[in-house]
Amino acid sequence: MAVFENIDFNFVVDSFADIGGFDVVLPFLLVFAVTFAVLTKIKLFGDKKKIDVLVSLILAAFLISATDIVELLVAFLPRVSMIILVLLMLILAVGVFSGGSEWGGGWLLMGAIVAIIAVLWALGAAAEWDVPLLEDITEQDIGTLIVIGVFVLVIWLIVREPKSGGSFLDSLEKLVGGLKGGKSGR
Amino acid sequence: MTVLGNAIEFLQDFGIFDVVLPFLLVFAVVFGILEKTRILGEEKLGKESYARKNLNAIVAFVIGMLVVAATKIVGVINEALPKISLLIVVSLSFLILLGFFVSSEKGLYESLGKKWMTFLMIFMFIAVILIFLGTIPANEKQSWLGFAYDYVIEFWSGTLVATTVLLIVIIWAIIWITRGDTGREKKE
Repeated sequence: MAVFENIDFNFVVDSFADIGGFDVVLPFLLVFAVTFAVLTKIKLFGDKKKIDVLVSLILAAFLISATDIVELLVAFLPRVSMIILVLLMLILAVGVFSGGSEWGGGWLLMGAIVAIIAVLWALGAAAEWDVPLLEDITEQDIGTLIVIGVFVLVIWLIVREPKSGGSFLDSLEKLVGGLKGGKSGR
Repeated sequence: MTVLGNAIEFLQDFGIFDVVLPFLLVFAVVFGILEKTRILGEEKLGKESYARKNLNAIVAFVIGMLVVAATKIVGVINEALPKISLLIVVSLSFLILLGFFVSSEKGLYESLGKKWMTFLMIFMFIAVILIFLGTIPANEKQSWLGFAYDYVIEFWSGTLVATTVLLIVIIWAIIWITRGDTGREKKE
């Protein structure tokens, strides 16, 4: 009989879930690790690691006592993991054509905006947010917002200082060059 | 309910989360700060000086016990701290996602720059304030945050809210206009 014939990892995961691994152990370890790392870095209590450990343990213990927050966390983290995988696949796909995996130029700002939206989406979906007033927005409201946006854009285009040299295509080339790594393309 | 979940429930019934943990937390924080700041003085042993551990321990113990005796404060701590832990995890997720777009030569914080760091610090500060306002009760039915939110929604077209919004816009415009000149001077 093969040694690993009867091993079923699904059973292991289910057992781990049944004993409360995903609801108690993992959230506790996560909060403890992050809090301890931050406290050690900022040295709030000087070099006293024992106090850092104690505060981190207590903070993590408080978290697992709040079952509703733990439920939110358990729903939030898999969504974030999914977004991380999506971004990883994107970098892999782009990396086929680019020189490296570092994105410079305006891509960092775009990345920050994407990260904010992604985190808000993951949190909102996990918490089942009911965004107030969102359902009350009508087509007239959308039209008003678009008109305001166009006005702001026109004013910005008029008021901004013209940059020396460079057409629209040059700007586009700089942006794409940022994908090839660093501030300019390689 | 899972095995560990039952254990947590038992510990809750036992009073660990209402008495022991708040006491330990306040004791640890106060003791740590007193040790670091040496407010209660120092004692010299040979050439080196140390903080007065016994005094610091007594003060931290007393403050911890006083906090535990105040059940309303313990309730606020029990409600707010898990939410702050959640905020820490959310910000960690944000930084992980941001790490994809950052150069490996520079660190994450160096790549973000001063403006982003300032923005994130202000955001975290406001978030912590809002969390505590959301747990401190204003009356029997709602917290201070809930009270403020309901007030703003109810009196959105009222004088106070409109005046506050107008004031904020004016102050922001003044700051933006006056700062714009210094920016141009720096470039020149």
